[in-house]
Amino acid sequence: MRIFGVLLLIAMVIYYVPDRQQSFTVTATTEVLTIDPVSDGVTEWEVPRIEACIRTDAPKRELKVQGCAMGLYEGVIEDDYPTLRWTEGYRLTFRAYTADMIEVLVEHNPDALPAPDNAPNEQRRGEMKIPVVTLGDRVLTPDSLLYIPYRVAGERTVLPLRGYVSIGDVPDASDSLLLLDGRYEIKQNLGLRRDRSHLVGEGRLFPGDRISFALGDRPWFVPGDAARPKEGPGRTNALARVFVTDLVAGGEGFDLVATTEPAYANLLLTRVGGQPTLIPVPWTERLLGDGVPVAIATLLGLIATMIALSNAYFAPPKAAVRIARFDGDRDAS
Amino acid sequence: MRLSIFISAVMLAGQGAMAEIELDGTIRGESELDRTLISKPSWLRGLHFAGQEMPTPEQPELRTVLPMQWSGKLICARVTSMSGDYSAMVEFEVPQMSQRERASLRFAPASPIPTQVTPENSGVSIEQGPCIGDNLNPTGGSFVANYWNELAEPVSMGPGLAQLVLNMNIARADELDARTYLGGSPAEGVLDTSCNKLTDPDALAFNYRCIVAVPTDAVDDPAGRELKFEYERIYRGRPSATRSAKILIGSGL
Repeated sequence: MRIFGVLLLIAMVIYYVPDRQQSFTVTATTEVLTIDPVSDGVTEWEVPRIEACIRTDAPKRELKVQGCAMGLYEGVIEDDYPTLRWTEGYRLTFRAYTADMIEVLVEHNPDALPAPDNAPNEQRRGEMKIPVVTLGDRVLTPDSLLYIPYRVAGERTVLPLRGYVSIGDVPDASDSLLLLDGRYEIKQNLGLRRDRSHLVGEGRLFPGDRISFALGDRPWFVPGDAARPKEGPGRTNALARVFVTDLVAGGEGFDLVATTEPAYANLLLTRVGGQPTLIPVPWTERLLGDGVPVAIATLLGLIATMIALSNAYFAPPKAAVRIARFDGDRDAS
Repeated sequence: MRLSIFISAVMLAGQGAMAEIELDGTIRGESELDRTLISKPSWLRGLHFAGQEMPTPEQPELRTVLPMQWSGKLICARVTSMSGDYSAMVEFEVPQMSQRERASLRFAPASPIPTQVTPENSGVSIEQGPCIGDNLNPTGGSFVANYWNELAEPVSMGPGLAQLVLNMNIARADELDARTYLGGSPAEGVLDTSCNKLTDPDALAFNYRCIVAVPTDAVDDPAGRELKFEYERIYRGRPSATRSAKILIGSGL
């Protein structure tokens, strides 16, 4: 029995100690979110109304939109469910703007690959032909700004995306935009049911935190590249699906939920005054988060209890015999 | 970490009898920065001509030309690593000069400055005035361009164009709208200027890099030339007030 217990303990340690693929879910109220969108094709948003400041040094028409400076931007207002079409190669920064509107900065990602030669809608940055983002039939130039209302006629706007995200920002100026509140969950596939994920870690995010999802190293014993998620060239982040919305009308910031695909990845937390830190998941948390070892321990405990009880009721009462002998000896003396 | 700098001088013949002088620097401040990006008056954290890459030197090397108007005055060299892990201010007293002087600035062999400090991940700005905190006048400090750890052979940006690199600490900016004027005004010429946000996550002490295409005849002008670099931050659709710096070049390092 003892040998069996020791072997079981060793087996559990071997099973639970190595790192494994994990996914993260972050829900947060924040004033800033940065995402490099990734899609197999084109991502489309159809929202009731968009106001846009299209960056250009020579506006064709002067229309004042939000706070954008005349002369630097061409103002556009689309209020009949315009379609916004994203392609890869851009970085979007979502920022809280007013209580009823979000601002999106559209930047060309300098690390992105150039657009193919046969891509429609010519747009160049320096020598490179870059992919095109469109609002209706207009091409959005890099450094343009979008203003999207959270609600139109009571209808909530939800903006879904897939890509590499960074939530919040570390305060670096007196008017920094911050993550306001949030929490995270870490899930891993454990035990015999590998298709089910188990909660192995959770925590709260503080105001001013910045969270991203950093790819880690695949353990040496995991074969092949199939274990690694699809990723862009030179990428060190894990892919996430995220949606942005405003859950509480009139509240500060905006709300989001981001979930990563399972990967050998870590939650990268940057907190004011500290270095970026990977949030670890100890193997003991994996052990506690898995129902199988708990069930085995419970079962073994029951078996041990049953054996002890059966010994107590059915085995000869050796202790009582010894006491009787002792008492007999004392009486004899 | 302790840094010592001295300017070695070797008398050179030719090029208008320009000499190279040697000065010992005095360290006025050496610290680890607080890794924050608050926009301060010292927005210009590095200014150098991109040169042909040098074989790994045993010590960092810095070269420049001291203009006549700096004769007998104090100058300050500020060294900043891109990550903000290291900074130093080294003050020099320029001797009385009868002409523009070529100077070869280099770190002493015993300097423990990290060997990984390179023109890509660090900056040096040399400004007239003593080393007192961040003393750049936001409306127009006066700098000399330098070569930082590189040979005096400018990287070409095209026929007759050298590449001047400005490493800048800019907060609250979606983009920079920058211009450079030869001679200090648009009348003499507008130089091609482009600015990009650095994507390196360690880009904390400076986070923007601007590239200016400078005509090599201006770089080689023995009389020296002046550039005026100015920019506005554009943030959330609005431009900021203009900031500028006067950059002295010439005599063809």
